[in-house]
Amino acid sequence: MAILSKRAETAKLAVLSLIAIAVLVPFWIMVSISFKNLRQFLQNILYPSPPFHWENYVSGWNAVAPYVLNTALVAVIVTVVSLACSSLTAYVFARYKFPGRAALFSALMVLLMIPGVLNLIPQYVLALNLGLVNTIWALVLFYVAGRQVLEVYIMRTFFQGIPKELFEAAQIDGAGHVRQYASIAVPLSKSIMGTLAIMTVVFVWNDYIWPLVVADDFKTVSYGLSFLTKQHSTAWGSLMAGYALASVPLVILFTFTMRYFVEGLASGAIKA
Amino acid sequence: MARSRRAGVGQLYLLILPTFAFVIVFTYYPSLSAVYHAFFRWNGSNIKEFVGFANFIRVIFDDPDMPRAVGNMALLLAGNLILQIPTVIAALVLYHLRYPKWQYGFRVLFVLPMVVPGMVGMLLWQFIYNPYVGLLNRTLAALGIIDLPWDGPTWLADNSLALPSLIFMGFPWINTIGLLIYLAGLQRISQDLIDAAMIDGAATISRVWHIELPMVLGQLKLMLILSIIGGIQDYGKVMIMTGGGPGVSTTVPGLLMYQRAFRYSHMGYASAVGVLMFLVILGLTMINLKYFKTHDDQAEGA
Repeated sequence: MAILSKRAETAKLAVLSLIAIAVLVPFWIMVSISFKNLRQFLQNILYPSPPFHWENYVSGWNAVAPYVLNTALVAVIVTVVSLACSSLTAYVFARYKFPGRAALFSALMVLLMIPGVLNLIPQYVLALNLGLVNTIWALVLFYVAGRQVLEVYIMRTFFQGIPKELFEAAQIDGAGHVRQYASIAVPLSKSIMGTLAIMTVVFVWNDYIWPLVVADDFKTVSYGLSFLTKQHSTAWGSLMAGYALASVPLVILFTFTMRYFVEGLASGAIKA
Repeated sequence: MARSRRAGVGQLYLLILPTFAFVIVFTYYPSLSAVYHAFFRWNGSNIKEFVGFANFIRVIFDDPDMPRAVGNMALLLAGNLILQIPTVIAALVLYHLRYPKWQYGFRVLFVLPMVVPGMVGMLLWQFIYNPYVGLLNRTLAALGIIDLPWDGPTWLADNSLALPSLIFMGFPWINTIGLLIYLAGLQRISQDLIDAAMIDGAATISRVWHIELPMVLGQLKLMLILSIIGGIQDYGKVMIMTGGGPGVSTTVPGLLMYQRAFRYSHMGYASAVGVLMFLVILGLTMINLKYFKTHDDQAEGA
């Protein structure tokens, strides 16, 4: 029995290891090629071999740096502005009754049903008419609007879970709506806001079609990388180094926050 | 007092105003505009002529590329659905690992594809399929199946291989979010249930079949429906990997919409494609909501 279960355990580990290797192969190849010059690249790509061409990372960085910096700037502005707006709205919907509350909330939530494909063309025409095309604002304004619904929905649920007594005590002390929001709701919701901020950063980092349509002069990472790939000739080493460098910020972000992210996902799954 | 309360209520509207301003200008208005302009011959600026349902009729009956696009989309979706299976298997095997340390280690490895930008993953697969210097043809050459890498298939540039290549990319198709959700579900199975099964002398296989698989199945259904709804509107992958080509052999409706709009300025026609896709997605969402509700009730009743 013990031998059998040991064998079963080995089999499981073998299966998972094979899957893991297959998952990692593309990324391993990327790292391997990033250290090679053209001659080495043509000979063998399976593993890095000396001499290691670190200078690929310099040229790779020079190529992707503008995209990374653009994306970081957009992500920061979008995160701050969208969370400021959506947290206020979520707070109001969670905490107060007022005429039109239900209708306004449904008017917001109905947007969850509208797919991006429907809006792409008129959004482009709107950006064109407002003179936003090829500026950072075409990205920022539409992204902020796009993030609102999900953020309001998630934060409203969170705010509803905060005990009413906390707010009422502050109210008795004479704190107004804004004061209660700023001194009670916001400090208590740092973790949920952090999670939403990460989701926004990841979204901006990965979005491809909208920047392709409106941000030729302000390329973000995904569009920039595909653009770069079409342009490049035989500099495979620096191209792969560029891919790797463009991935680093997200990898770091996730490394530090994965725990919260997985917990949130797990608890969300349990609720569902 | 009443006065100050009314002032307070007024302030509430002011606080939600920024959200609504953003959403009305940049989301609501475009959605309505899309529906409205679907009834026009429209180039986005000076040409605008009411044509009734002509755009819709042309999309459904007269677009030479649309049947192919819908067929491709169906095949991509079908591939997508079948390829959820490896994730389920990985989750089950991972759950059965005896040592938490190993479990944790593999979970971290499987999360990697998610933390690397999606674009990098796709471009790496584009490289893997590169017929001259890519990993796939080099491997085939090394195994002696073809003489030299460039004797091999051209994969994404090949009329009949491009679509299968698109489906195959992403091997071994571990869907990170799905994996984490399945694991969370499995870990929710109560120890009592497992103990009871053990006392009954249930073999591992029957435990998997009768307890764990049903647990995963509910969540799998959700993942399937999300992947259908996402798959219908996702044309970024096709656009990046093949541009819909060669010819129209890998095109999908979303990509046709994009090309009609931005290559030929047929904005009204493209809006009609968008509206039709919206209706299909809406229909599926409705079916899903209805279907899911009954499913949950059954689960509770059981």
